[in-house]
Amino acid sequence: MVESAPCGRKTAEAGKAATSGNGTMTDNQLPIISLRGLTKSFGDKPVLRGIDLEVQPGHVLGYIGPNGAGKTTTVKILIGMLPEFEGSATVCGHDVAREPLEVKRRIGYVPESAALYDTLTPLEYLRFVGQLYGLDPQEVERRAREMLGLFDLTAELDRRMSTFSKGMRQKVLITAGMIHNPDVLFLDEPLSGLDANSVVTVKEIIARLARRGKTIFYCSHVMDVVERVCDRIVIINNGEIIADGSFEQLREMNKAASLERLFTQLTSSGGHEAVADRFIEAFEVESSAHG
Amino acid sequence: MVRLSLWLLDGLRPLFRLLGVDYGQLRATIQVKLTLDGRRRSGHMQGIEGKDRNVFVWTLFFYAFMGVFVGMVGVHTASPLVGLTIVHAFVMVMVGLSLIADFSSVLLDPTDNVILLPRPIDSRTLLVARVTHVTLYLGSLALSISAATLIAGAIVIGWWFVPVFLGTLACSVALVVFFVHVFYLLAMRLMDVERFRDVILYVQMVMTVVVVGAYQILPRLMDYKQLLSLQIDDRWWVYICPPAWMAAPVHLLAGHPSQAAVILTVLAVAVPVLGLTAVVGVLAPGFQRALAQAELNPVQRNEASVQPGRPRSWGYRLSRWVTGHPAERAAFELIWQIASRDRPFKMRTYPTVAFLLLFGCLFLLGDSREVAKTLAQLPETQKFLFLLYFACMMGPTAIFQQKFTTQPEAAWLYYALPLEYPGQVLLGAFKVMAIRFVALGFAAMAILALVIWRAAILGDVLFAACATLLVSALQAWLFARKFPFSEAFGMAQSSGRLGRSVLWMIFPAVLAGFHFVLRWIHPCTVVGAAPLVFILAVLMLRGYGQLTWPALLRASR
Repeated sequence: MVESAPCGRKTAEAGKAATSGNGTMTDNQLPIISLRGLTKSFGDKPVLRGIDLEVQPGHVLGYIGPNGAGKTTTVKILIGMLPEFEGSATVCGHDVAREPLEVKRRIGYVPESAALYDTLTPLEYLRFVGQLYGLDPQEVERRAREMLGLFDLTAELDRRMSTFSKGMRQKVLITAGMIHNPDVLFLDEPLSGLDANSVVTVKEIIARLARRGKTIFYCSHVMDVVERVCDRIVIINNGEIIADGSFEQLREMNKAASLERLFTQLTSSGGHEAVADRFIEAFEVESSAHG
Repeated sequence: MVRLSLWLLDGLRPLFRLLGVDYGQLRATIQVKLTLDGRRRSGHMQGIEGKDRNVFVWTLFFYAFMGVFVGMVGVHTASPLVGLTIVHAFVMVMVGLSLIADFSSVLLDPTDNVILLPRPIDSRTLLVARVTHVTLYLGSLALSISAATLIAGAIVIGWWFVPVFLGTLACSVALVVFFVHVFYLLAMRLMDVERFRDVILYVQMVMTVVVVGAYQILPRLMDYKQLLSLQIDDRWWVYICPPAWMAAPVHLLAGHPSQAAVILTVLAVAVPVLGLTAVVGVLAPGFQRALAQAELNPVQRNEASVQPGRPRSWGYRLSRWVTGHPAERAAFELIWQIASRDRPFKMRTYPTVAFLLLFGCLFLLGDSREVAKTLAQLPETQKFLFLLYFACMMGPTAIFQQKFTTQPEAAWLYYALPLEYPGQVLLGAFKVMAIRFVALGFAAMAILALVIWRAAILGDVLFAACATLLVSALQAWLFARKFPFSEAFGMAQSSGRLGRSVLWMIFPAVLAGFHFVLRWIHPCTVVGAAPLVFILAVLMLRGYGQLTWPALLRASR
């Protein structure tokens, strides 16, 4: 019930050993994402402590970890939003530090924060984003209409997004992240706010993109989805990778029934049951007992 | 407006090519930013859903209109130095306030980074786009305010006025940009983002008051003979007065050569140039860095936003004395907290207190030009009545505004809780508004009145206080039957609005009239009548507090 501290290096190394003969398809190709000794601190607070990771094209990588573990920082470095870091990061053959623009042209990013200029309409927003990628405005509009229409947003194309629900904004952001046909997609909680049908649609899109050779870097807390969607899972905690492998491999190694179990085993000191009990006691018992 | 600016940009295309930027991306970015400017709600209109008109264009027209008044004052003065100092002062103040009040949301918004940075736009294109955007924004503001002056000056002084004035305008704007950047950097050092947003709110409120005040004061300035014949060449303080620097070039070239004028002209050109260099070289990048850092690791936020152990809020302390029923008390505490923090609410209510004071004073002065004489004659009049009952207008504003919020869905709470008498919530909210606004406004007016009329009117103040309470209670009883902070902002239903406004004014007028009659009978009757009025108010409030669900649901139909 109460597990000891994370397994740390042992699991990571064992995990890596298991994946070096990486199952699925394209092992001999050059990795499309490559991180070596990636280190980053904010002031004197270290966030990433030497991340080593290689991702082959056509994979869906689940990148999970507790809050503050360094997931978002890793992604921001990979997409060129954080130019200052130690170590090396290469995406699509281009060094992120030296050729950030080349990297940005080939990647798509859907942030967790659902940030967009909500006084614009979806068409206006996508037109703007498309132009930044150098696409012809008319082509952008054609793609936008098609993609948003498939997300059931045809009626809202000319309405300002300030009235949109979170799910609707998320759909626009997903569209914005893919409209320029990127080779690598960085998705941070892409399913949050989506209705059941759209969740299934997006999962299908991810699976098909992978089959077409695109690479997906998927950050999430929702373990069941990660379990099923990703063919490789990397768990990060305190700025270090502590597990890396396919779900079956990891499960076997740690005798865990689900990814959620595995995750809590590796990252927390446990005691969830005790916390739950005390929480309920806090409001069930009258404080007269404590004087 | 957007099209016009883009047309201008297209004309400058070769220049941008020369600067080494991607013109397509630049144009797209500026187009989006201008569109956003047009739809962004300024200060007092926060939270309201925008229509399809371009808000910014209306702002420009508004400023141009104000500019006419300013221009008239500027042209009527004997010396160009004085007149143009006033004009430039006005431009600098308005541009500066506008920049802080309306543009801060743009500068402080981290959304920009999240949207633009992952895209393949290089930093030079981005920087040029931002600079161009800000220049367009500020330039249009400055030009619209000074349009009237430009035309008037060209006619009165000559054609050469136009380029020189445009030059000094540019210098003024540059100087303002410098000052505002320094202000921002200081602010970022000294306080956290939340506190800073409050400061911005205060600036917005000040701006609203300044704008309304300007309309009242400017026309009076034109009759102020002393001002019109002023010569300030020889005053020592012109050297530290930036608007005076800006006025000097025209003054000099219009045939008033003096050592002072020459020095000032040099200052007018040199200081902004230095300032702008500092901004581009040091301040702006530093500011961007500070912003990026602040956004990327919110965990590092200044601890000032969370103050453990700070004294319990006034709301909690007062609630015990002022409220009876537990539901009423809970509502009082809640609404007190929200009213002290909700920005759109504060923005729509606090300036009214300032307006009250402003109009009160202006009313007392009337149309006279002899300020001192009028003041001396006041104690003989009964004008204090108007002052005291003016505060009755405070209540309606706060009470009417209290139901609006940017998060109306949060009101589900009232419906899900076991609330037997929803009137208790309304009563609690009323008391918050009564204490925070009506009492505040009344105290302001009462102090002003007591200062002028002294202790003779103490009894009247007492009666008026009770009467104000009664009127506010009546207004709440009739008009405030929706839960506080439960409705979205909207162009409020116009039907019934006129009737309501009229009624709001009638009650105070009736009570003021009653007060007047009592005084006429004998000035001391007011003291005796006050408790009666108070009891009446209390009874009315009790009824208010016992409003039932059916009554409330009727009201929301």
